[in-house]
Amino acid sequence: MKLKPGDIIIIIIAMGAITFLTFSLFSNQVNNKNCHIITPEKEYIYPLHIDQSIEIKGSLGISHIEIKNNHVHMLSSPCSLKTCIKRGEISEVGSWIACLPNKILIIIKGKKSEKAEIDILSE
Amino acid sequence: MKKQKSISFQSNIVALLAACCIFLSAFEYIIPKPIPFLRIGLANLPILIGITLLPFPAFLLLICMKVCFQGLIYGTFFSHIIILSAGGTFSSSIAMFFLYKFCKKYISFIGISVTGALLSNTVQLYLAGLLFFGPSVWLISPPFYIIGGIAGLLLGVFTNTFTGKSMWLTQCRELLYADNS
Repeated sequence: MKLKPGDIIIIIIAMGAITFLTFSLFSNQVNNKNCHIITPEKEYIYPLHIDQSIEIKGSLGISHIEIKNNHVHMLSSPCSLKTCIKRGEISEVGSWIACLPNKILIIIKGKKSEKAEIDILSE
Repeated sequence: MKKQKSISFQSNIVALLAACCIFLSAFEYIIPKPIPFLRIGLANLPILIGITLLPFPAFLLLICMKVCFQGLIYGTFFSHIIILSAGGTFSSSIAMFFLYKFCKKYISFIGISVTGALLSNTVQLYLAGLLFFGPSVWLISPPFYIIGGIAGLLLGVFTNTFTGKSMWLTQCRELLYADNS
C-alpha cells in the first residue's frame, strides 16, 4: 500500500476544512449576543454586532437607542432624570439599562463570555 | 456471444456486491452509535470495489440497491431518513466513480474514500438542515466529519490492500474486459 500525491492533498484539504469549520462554529457562538428591548407592549430583539440606531416608543414618548461596536447606549429619552442616559454603554451579557418613567428595559442576553463584567453591586 | 456472456457476468457482480452491501449494513447495525446518524460506512466497501469493475449504468443500479437495502435493514425505508441516506450515497458514489475514472493516476482509494465520506456527510447535513432540523444541525458537524474522515481513511487503506492482492478481482476484471482489449 502506498499513498499517491492526490491522497495527501485530499487528506490535508479535509483536515484543514474540518479545523476551519470547527473554529468558525465556536467563534460564532461567543459573538452570539443579542440586545433585548422590553416595553410594556412588546419585546424587541436586535443582534449586538450590527450597528444601528433604534427608536422605541415607551409610555412617555420615543427613546433613541444606539447599537455601536457591540455596545448599546441610550441616546435620548423623554424622561425627567435621564438616569438611563447616564448609565452609559453596556456590552456584557446580563448587563442592563432601565428607564422607569418611560418603561423601557434594555438587557443583553446570550452566551456568557470569559471575562464577565463586574456587576453593578461591586462598582 | 462473448459480449452477452460478459453482460450476464456483470449482473452477477452487481448482485454479489449488493449482497455484500446487505451483509455489511446488517453488521454495521449491531455496532452501537452515540448519535443516530453517526455511521462508519462499512457498506461503502462494495461500492468502492464496484467502481473498479462496473460501467456507469451497472454502478448506478448497485447504489440504488444499496440505498434500498440499507433502508430496509435500518427500518427507515418509508421515513424521511431515506432522503438523507439516498442523497449522501448518490452524491458520494457518483463523485467517487468519476474521481476514479479520471484521476486514477494521481489518487488511490484512500483519497477517493475520504472524499466520498466527507461529501456524503456534507450532503446529509445540508439536506437535514434544509428539510428537517434547521441550520442548528451544523453544530454537530465537527465530530460527524472527524469520525467520517477516519472511517473513510481506514476503508480506503483496506480497499487499497484488497485491490492490490485479490486474485478474484483480477479474474473478474479479465473476464469483464477480455473482449474490450
